[in-house]
Amino acid sequence: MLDAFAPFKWEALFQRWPEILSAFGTTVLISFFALILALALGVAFGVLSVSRFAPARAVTRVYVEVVQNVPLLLQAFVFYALLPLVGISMSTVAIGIVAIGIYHGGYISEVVRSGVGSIHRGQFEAAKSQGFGYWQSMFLIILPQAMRIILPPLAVQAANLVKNTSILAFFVGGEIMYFSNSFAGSTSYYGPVYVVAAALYFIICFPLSRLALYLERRTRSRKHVATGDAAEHLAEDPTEVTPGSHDITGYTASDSLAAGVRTMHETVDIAPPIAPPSPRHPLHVLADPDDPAAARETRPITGRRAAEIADEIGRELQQQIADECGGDERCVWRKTHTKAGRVGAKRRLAGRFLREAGAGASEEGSDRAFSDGADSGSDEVLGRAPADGAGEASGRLPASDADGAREASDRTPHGRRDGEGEEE
Amino acid sequence: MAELFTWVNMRFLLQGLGMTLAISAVSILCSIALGTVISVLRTSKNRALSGVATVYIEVFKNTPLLLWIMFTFFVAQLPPLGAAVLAFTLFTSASVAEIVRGGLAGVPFGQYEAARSQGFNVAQTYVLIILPQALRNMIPALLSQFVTTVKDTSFLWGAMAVQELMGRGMILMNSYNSTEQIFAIFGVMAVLYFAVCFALSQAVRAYQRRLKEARTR
Repeated sequence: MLDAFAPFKWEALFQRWPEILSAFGTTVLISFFALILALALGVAFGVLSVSRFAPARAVTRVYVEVVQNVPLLLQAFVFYALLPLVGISMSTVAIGIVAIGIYHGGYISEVVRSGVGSIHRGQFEAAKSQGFGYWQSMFLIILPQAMRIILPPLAVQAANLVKNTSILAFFVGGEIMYFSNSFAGSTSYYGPVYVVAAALYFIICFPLSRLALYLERRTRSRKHVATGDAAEHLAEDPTEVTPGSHDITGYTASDSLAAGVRTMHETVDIAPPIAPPSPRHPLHVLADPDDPAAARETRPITGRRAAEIADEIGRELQQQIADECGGDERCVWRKTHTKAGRVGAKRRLAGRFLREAGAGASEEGSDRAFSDGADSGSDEVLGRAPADGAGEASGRLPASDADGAREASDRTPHGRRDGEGEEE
Repeated sequence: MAELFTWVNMRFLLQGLGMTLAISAVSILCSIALGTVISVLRTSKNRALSGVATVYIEVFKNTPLLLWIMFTFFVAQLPPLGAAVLAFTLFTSASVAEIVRGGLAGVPFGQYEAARSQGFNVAQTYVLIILPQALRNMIPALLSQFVTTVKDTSFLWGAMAVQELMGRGMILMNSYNSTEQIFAIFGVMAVLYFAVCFALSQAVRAYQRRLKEARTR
């Protein structure tokens, strides 16, 4: 096995670098044009699949099902072996572009469908009320907004597309995989050429899957500036699904498969139900202390008032830390940058609430919460109290409870779900 | 046409389909085992281990399957069936690892805490409480992955002459050469693949609907 990678074999391979380069070029070329074709087909069929015209929906359904449930190789074989029998022949590069374009067009159409489905119907209605026609509102209003949802799985599809160009090796396609096979076959130096091929595919696909990951996270982190309630709902839902995860790739694809819910197979309603604001939203913590009724309902405070409160708390906590440390830089750093420090900060926050809102009854709890040092065990205050925000607990429970919920959600058994996971 | 649609020929093709399904099933089972291990390594606290798992996933996610089929067959010099299963297992386990990770993350942490508070130890908690729930969540994704694998086994004939459905169809096409017959054989292959994959996709959909109903109830 090891002599499969003998140095002279590498040498023989790299003597043919112009061919490697041109094979790489062919792969890029085929991928590029196939992607354009796939995008065109995908957008066209995706838009048709949400139309009100039943035959159009039926056609897209058939297209998508056939394309997704028959092997790509068999589909390419139609163009390579069957169509010439009835007098239509194409060059292999053209076969690659058309077959792969049509194949991924089916997947992209599902991606587009899910994206459009995630936009709230109100957007359609608003566009209509402003005098836009159906197609105008689709292409000017709906699709641009759906891009947020569409782009991440689209990047995944692009990476899959590049990988799938390798099937052209069976049709003398002249791309990387074909070059590898013919080099390996003609010289019987099998080892190096496949490693190089793997590296070449990797340098195209890796950036694409990273891009998918980046776009996905950006979409998630911007959920609060989302357009329309439906999008908000989509981003907030922990069981959210990435359309296009049928060919499973991408972290978020799997993350969203977490609860195994919707893959792209599922029909997406134009208007998903409007979700109530998530109880895990940080602003639930900040029930207005001036208004006991509001605190009881744990109604979120939003906008400027929330920002002011957060700001105020932040400054106070900073002051508090500075007082405790008395100018010791390392101490301040420890309390602001380490996990123990964060736990302590949560405690301070809880303590602050107990003090401020909890008059009388909760005074005792406040002291306990506050005096509990930053470095000891963790769960005393956080998340232990049941969630009945009623009665005497008005000020006290919402704070610690919401905190606890977030703490728990951060500690799912296998890593954190959102944002700063360990896959960086 | 009649001489084509004989029982012998159809049985020949159906046996190929059986081979396709057998290879896919074995590969998926191996991938689940390997994928679970990788996903555990991935979340391990040991940086080296999680690094290895990450690299593994990235490498197999970003390179084509065909390449690994060639690699296991020509470089590792395995017999065709072994090479096929190994290549599929390596490639698919990267995806399965992510599915497993997602599945485990989808189980609320409260389940873990509740189990521990009832006196289960860590192993019991995972085996009896967390994994069954995670598995329920993972089944649709795993089935989708199975569909993908079934479709991808069509590479095996061209790469190393394993007689699965694609290969059997090709063999049959060599002995019949009128245009209609070739179209017919091709049609039968496409229909067989479609029937299997479509049925599985429908099962995925039905299962998801049930999960969703159970969740919203």
